[in-house]
Amino acid sequence: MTQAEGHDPAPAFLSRNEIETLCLKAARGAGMSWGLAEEAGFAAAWLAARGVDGAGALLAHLQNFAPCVIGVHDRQWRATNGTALCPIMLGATLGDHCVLDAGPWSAPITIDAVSQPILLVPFLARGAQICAKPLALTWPGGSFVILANGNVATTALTALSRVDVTTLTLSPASEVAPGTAPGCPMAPLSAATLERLNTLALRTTVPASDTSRRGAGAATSDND
Amino acid sequence: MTVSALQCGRASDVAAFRRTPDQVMRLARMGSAHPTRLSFLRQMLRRMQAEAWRFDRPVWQIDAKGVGRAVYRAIGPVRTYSLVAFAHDLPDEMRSDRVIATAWDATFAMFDGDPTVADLDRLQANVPLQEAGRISVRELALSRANRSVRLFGHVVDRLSQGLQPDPAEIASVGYLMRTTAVYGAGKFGAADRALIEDREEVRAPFQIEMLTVWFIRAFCADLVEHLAALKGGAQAALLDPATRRALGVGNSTGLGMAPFLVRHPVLLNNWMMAREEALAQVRAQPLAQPQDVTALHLALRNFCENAALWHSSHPIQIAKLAGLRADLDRIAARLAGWPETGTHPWNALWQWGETALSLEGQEALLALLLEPHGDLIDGLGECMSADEVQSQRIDGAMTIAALRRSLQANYGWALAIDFTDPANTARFWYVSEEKLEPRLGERHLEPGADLEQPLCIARLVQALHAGLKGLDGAGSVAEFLMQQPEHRFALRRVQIMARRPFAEVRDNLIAADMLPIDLMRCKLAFFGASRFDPRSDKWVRISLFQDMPYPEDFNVQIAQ
Repeated sequence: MTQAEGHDPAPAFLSRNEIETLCLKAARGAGMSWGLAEEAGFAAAWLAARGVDGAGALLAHLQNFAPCVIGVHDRQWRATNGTALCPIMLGATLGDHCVLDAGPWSAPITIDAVSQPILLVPFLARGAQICAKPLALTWPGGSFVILANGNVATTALTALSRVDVTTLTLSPASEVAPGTAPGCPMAPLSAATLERLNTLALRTTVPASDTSRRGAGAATSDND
Repeated sequence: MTVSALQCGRASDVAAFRRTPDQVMRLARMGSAHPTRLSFLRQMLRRMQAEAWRFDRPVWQIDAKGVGRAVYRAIGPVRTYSLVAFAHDLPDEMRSDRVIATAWDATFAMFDGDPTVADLDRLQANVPLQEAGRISVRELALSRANRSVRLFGHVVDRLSQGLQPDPAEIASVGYLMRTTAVYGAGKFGAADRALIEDREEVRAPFQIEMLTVWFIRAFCADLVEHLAALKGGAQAALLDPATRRALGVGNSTGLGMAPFLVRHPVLLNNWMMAREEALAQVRAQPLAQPQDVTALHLALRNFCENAALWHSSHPIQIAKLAGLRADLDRIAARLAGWPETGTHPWNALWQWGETALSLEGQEALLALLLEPHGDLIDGLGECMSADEVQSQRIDGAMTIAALRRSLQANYGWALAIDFTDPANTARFWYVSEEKLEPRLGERHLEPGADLEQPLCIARLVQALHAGLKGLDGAGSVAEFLMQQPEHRFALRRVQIMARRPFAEVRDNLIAADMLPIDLMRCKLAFFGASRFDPRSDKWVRISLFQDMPYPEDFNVQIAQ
């Protein structure tokens, strides 16, 4: 479950900056390279700013994280080892291809399977803005269009956020309606999500030693 | 030829007077930086003066032990900002400037608007806890400060007896309290930068933080007078204006600040470029106007007074200070007959400095040359903020050939470092589990290097360069990253640097002889900090707002 839909006794209201930083560290702690971990932070915070629990989705993905290798054949994108693709690696790669012929803004592509597909949306929205072209996203349970200005209907995001793993088609679209970004508060994190992301983030840290403690401060007293 | 005709020719000439990034972006030079009129606190003061901001203190509830709360308001043409201050009674044994501290002499939050009593109560439950509490989107900064035990006690004692503090004591410390952290946008629940970035008055970097520190300075001066009055009764004195003005706010900072400039390449570029453009524009001036010559002499005199009061007990800084003082004498001597006949006198002075002065002296000369030229260069302050979000995007359409050219053009310094030499990989940056703060380890002596932070850009860029070996130049970066995603971090840096030549510190940040205080000094100088006083190679104290006006001085000007 990516959305904290049940009753959460103590949701955590983090700033966008805090969500981005925490998710970057957690992704790195789970084994992502630094460059992709930055993208994970971007994606989770982008979703949170639109009221979607991106941090929860990222956590769900990180709990079974293994780096993936993308293979592309006849505009079909899949993981070379047959598992579901990492949405951060896939999203970042699709964004990198936004103005290239191989990318989905030129002609439709299919994705065999991707985990936590909601995490693709921030990358596709950024790509849509860069090439100023809308993009249709279709999966067995629904579809929506990401507008050329990067906006997506909140209801569409909510529907996709309930999907754990799916196949997808991405195709050039025509603009459906003028989009405006709805203002909404940052999505809170459930207490459990926060705790687990913090645990992953801690894996990027080094336990203190006497040497490190001594080396970090002033060589003189602070009571002067 | 008239002056205006000469000035018209100026713009096309500036390029010839620019320093190169290879000159500017070296640690040793960055670690010799001085505050200039483009520094962020100077920008804030200029704006507030120009816009006739008003200041008041609507709340002052501090008891005889110095415990309680106060509110300082800055009322601008559009918005009001309020510093909420909490004063505490801290036993000496709990006083620590380190991030490991859990209690402080005073704690602060910058409130966006006019706080209600309910806001103050909410903040009182959280702000004194600092990192362990939570603030909200109504707050823009969180900070704390510790007393200079010696000076604070001395000043209260003297004032309570109706006497002024000993000027020698004031000069030797320079501040009543030093901040040990000023947390800004998005930290501990505070409003994200994005929520306020469209506001004209906070567009320049760190304006909220500078206002926070400026109000803390006023709070400290008010607090000693308050405590002296309670202690001395009717005989107690107020600080005389000159003494009050001589007091700055100290700041004590460690490695936590050091990685900032590396983690924010676009900001670093914009800060450096604005400053360098200012220097180039001054050097490109065809003439020195008499009033500007006078202003330069005045700036030198002020600089020398400040340098005379600047003390350090750290061997590195003691040597640099001796060099600086000798350089200031050389500059004074050089100015005796300056400007000589001939064109571009500012440039002649600068070029002399490059051969005659130490790095400390050269960077001091830079600050001095900018000082008389507000009309010419102050507008460059508006170029110092950055849209960091846009710069994060990778241009996947870039070809491998173009990437290689960019690497050769901008990272030659990085590709030239021999990382097989153990001295060149001697350190590693990491985050401590205990306090989640940046630290620097000895790679060949301590465990933890497998958890290294990506701060040694040179080494990461070398790995990227190696990863390109054998690839077809016509291929795209997008394809490359699909095959080798581990180079994404370094590749982003290279693309950022392609259009921002001052984005990287062009040195090895994990070398055995690297000094983290050089990174800190550069950042602090951009803030406007003076009297840089290292307490180790990783820890430094500085002073902010020394000899600058107080908020109430602006009110007086408006009244007049």
